[in-house]
Amino acid sequence: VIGHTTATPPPTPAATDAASFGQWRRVSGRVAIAGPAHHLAHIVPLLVLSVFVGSATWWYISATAAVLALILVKGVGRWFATHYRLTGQHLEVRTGLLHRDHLLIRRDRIRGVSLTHKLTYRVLGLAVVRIGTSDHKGVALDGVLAADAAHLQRLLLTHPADLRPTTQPATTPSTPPATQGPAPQGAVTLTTFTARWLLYAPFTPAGWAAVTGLAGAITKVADRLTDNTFDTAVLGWITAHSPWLTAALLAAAVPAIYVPGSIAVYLALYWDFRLTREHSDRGGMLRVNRGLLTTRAASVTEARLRGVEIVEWLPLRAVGGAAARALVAGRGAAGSRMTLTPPGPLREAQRVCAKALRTTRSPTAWPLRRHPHAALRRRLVRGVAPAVLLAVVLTVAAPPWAWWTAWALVPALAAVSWDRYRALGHALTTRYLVTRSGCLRRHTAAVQRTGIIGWRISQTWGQRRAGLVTVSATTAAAAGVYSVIDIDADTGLQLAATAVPGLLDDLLHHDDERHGRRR
Amino acid sequence: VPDGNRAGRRRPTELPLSSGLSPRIRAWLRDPAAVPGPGGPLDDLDTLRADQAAIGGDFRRALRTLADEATDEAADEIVGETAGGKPPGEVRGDLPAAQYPDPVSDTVDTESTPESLPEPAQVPLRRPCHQLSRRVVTLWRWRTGAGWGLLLAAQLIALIFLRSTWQSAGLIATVAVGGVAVGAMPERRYRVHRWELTSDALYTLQGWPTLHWEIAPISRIQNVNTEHGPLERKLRLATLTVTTASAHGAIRIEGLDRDVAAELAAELTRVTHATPWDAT
Repeated sequence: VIGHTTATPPPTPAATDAASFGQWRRVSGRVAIAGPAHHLAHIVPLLVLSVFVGSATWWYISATAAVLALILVKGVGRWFATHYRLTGQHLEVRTGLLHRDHLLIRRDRIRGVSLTHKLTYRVLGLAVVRIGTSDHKGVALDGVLAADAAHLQRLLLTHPADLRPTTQPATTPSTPPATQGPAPQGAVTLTTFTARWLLYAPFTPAGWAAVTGLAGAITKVADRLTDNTFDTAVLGWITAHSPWLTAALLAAAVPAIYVPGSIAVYLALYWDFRLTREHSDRGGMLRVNRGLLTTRAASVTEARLRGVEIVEWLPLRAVGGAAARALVAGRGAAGSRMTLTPPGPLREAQRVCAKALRTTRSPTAWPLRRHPHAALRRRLVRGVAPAVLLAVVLTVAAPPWAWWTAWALVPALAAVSWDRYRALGHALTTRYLVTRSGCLRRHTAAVQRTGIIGWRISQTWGQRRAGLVTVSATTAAAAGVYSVIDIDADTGLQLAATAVPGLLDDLLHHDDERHGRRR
Repeated sequence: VPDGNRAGRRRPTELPLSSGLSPRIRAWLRDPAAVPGPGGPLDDLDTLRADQAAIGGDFRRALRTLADEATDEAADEIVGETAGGKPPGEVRGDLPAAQYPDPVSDTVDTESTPESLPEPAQVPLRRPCHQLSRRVVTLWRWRTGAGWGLLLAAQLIALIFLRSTWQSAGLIATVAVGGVAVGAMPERRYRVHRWELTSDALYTLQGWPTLHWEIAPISRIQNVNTEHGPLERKLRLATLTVTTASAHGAIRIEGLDRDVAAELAAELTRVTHATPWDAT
């Protein structure tokens, strides 16, 4: 049955029988409805609003209906044209009605599989399966039945080595090996959603979406209701009253929207957050489930982990919070990064990192080595000098309030520079290279030393004068490059040479050796 | 491109891959016992010279690298043996402690003076041993010239319609900065840019005023690609791009002699294919 391509694929079996993955099959036909339903869910509030406001004309409504009909036709076409099957070696996906595309993905190149259930998809019992691979931008199967999707995810992440003909008994060719997906053997929960995490939500940047979105919606509706005179009315009110009153009103209104908004966004993203580790025959597998309306489930094999990172936004850092993410090898939808903990207590983030890496203490929690004072000088020169220059120019050529603000900025920028310097640090553990930088968004990354696939060392003109370098390790995961910024040149190269033994031996000057021999 | 043609004809029969040393010498450096003869290549300096000539490398440079890599006893031996008419210690005697003058720059690129080079002593990395083709200076000169020329032309046209002090000042600035970029930059870059294929990695030094050293282990290389633009084709140059699994790990070497690039690409492809896994 495997390797046999039928000219006309059989109709989609409704059953969730695992064996059928070995044959060509379509995604669920419900996906044709899901597309328009999803858009309709977005359009309906606008439509109701426009009827209510009175701007809805017959043209407007019929145009919307036409667009929905087009989406429906497109959905039917896509459902009709998309086929996939899973053989022992490959996942094959055929798409396109006019422009035919046959994608052959080697199963051992599959790096991660994630499932997304949008709200409309949940109602219809569907999922989007995104497959990330090492050498391709990945592929998404839109509209797989939810039950099938979970099974497919597990199958795609099983070890292809067990599916190769050499390890398969040749006597059973009728049962596709692809279908013998392992059941999870006892999942260990590493962390779960805690209500206390919600306290950290107002300190995340998520609330801005709520504030700007709501402000935009309000002005739009008000504009419609007042025949586009809302802006002038607001401006008139502001000029008529004291600016302090406006400032006070804003100071009250923004948090009043921001706090509940950020909590709502946080809940939508991280409700029911669960990080688990399953044991399959492909080694351990980390799995994240999360989401309130749209639920997401991502899985990666532990062999793909290349490290972890801790991200602290300035307000979050001020209250002792952080988010943790795993660095996952591979590009595309399922690769690069996976949330280990949402914004929450730093201690929890460190604990989960340690658990995820199977260490007693997360490499990101070790004390870091400071960078030389020349780095502080560079931060100050780059951060403060332009502001001072601007302030001087303004003092000469601008009204007092301008240069007052410019001078007031200087100490603030100096503080930021100082904080940026304090953030700089690096460490080397037995398995990880740790580097930290950043002020507004402080970023501590621990990159597996065996996952470092190259070095880039750069030195600007200013760094050359100060004897500093930036040493960057390239990896196959996430950002692709992690930098130790403004480190002393000798220490930096030593760090690189120690982190990946042997690679730099041939390229380094051994000063003491050379000197000794020359004497 | 009078200078470049000469450099092109002096093409080595085999690409001088590892630090410009012949395979025999490298093998001896790794394990003296593996190379026949009582003293290995040191046994017979003439053979050594012939060996090195066969791969097109420079003998003095090879010896210098040898002295740098060898054990103390071997180094003493080499220095003693190098004599060949020159005073003993000549090989290492010309290496100042603070600065390690590049072997290539004082043989191939005779115009370059130590002051014009970035100080290598600041970063404890030795320079990669091969320079680009001399013709790359022409390439860069034309390319930057075209960009600045376009800007200048636009400004001149604007000057016809609208005249102000600001505009004249802008014109002068364009001429000054563009002049420096076209006149000095290509030469500077040519002196800095270097590459080398060591036994474990592709190693490059590029960029000016910001210097970039890049090291990609051969075992992690995924793709090797050569490109020839129209201007590059005319100058018999090529750009070699080597990608790894990192989103930022690509190394691009512009301005290689076409044949050198082809040989390097072939060699890289060969060794890359020998790597069994997918290099992530």
